Amino acid sequence: MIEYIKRDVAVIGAGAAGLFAAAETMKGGCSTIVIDREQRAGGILNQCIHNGFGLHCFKEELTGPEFAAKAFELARSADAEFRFGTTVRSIKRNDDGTFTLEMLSRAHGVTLLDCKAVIMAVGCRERNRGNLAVPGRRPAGVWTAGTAQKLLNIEGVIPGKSAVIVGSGDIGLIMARRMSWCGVKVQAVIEIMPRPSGLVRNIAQCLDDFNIPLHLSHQVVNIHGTEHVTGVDAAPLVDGKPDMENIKHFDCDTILFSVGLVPSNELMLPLGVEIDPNTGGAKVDSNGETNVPGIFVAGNALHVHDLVDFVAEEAAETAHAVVRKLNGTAPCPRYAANTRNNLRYVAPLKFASGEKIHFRFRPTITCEKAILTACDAGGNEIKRWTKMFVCPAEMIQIELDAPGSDITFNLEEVK
Amino acid sequence: MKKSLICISCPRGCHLEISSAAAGEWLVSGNQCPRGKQYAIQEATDPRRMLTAAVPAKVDGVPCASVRSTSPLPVALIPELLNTLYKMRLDTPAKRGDVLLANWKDSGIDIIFSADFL
Repeated sequence: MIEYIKRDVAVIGAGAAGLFAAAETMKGGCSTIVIDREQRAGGILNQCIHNGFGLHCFKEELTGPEFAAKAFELARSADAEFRFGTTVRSIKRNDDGTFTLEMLSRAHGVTLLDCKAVIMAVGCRERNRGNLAVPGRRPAGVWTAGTAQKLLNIEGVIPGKSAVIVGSGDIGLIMARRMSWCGVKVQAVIEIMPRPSGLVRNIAQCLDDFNIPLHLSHQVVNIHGTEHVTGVDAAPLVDGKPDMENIKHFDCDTILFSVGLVPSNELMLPLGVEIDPNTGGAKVDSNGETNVPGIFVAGNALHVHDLVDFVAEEAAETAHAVVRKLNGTAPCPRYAANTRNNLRYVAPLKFASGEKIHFRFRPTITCEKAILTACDAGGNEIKRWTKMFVCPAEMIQIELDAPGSDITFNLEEVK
Repeated sequence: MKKSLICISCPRGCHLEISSAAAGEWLVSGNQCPRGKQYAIQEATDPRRMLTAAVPAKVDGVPCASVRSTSPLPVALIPELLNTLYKMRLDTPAKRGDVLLANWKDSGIDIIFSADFL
């Protein structure tokens, strides 16, 4: 038996982006179904039991599960429909521009869902040991930080007794504290770059509080152990190369990799969705729409955010555009947004004039003060923003009354 | 006595220096807003941290429950609290916000469930 259903909008993923998007498409009068492979709403927020979420969205500091519960309530009170324990296997674009999603679940078997628009709110994946091509043996006990987080916070399993964390991103730092509070001896954090990639305050409250050393400009050069990890070697970088004469050895039974996140694109690629190499996510316009009409992307599936509040805000904006698109009142984004210096990317890449648009950037520099400018196609400055304390760990977001011209954004340090 | 620390009040992470001027008076430098001064004095006199944890459960298929403190706790109270939490084996349903431990060590701070349990 195959189940056939039809809705206006399919939202894939019931994390922060999916929940906020669904609430808004429902409010806009579009029947919306949210699909998630897990048995409950919230996505990765459920395993982020630490606090620090929600200050922008809910005006209070929440833990991940609390943020998830509140976001779920928003979507549910807007009457969004949910399918949990359901995996979307494929998205097919029909000749009339609608989509058919093939989904599988224990409860319904195979379901074919017809819809007019799809919002991809599928989040991102962690880069792992394989992505870095770390040499050494292949014993058990090597995890990504997020997997270890799920083990600890959802499954209640402590992954080891003594750990080394590779990469100083915020997730790795949060895990250093979490593991220390669980009685795990965290030996060190090893970072290949000359400065930590996470926020200084997380260095302070997650490493300094527990006297965990941070080895900057160090690279993992070997992993020891036959069945299980017994240790790891790190070498200092000299002129970009590991100095094998000065290797530091750490005895440990657990290694966590916290080395960055990449948007999940698998479901969209067969549709011919174009990917921005700078974000790893889809190229979208100011409607949040990809080059395939009807396929929208929001949240960490689009570009990796550092605050869930910005994920939620972006997803809600995309949902508003989806509603307008289905009503035939969406503007047509025809102008291009470009970046010049010190910005790794801008999203969206195309925009409609006459709209108030949020542009989001990731800086490549760290400085106390910087000026961000927007220039039109003729090189004339349209607007400038002074930004205090700029660093790659923090996304920059600005609002602009979009002009009827291409724009180039530029970021310069103010000495 | 001079002490340097990093402010955790916001993502900027100012490098602060604090020294005692007279009894009950503090000199703070390096802060770029009033919260930095407040944090430095708090850290010098009574350091506190928010505590979040997963508490073991005694229920099939539900290994643990997530909890948090209602406000930042004195750092000295955290180790014993963690021990107490990890020794628990929860089996009674609770709603998000329900109190698990009230007024821990007379701090006025409760430990509450941060998600529905069961």
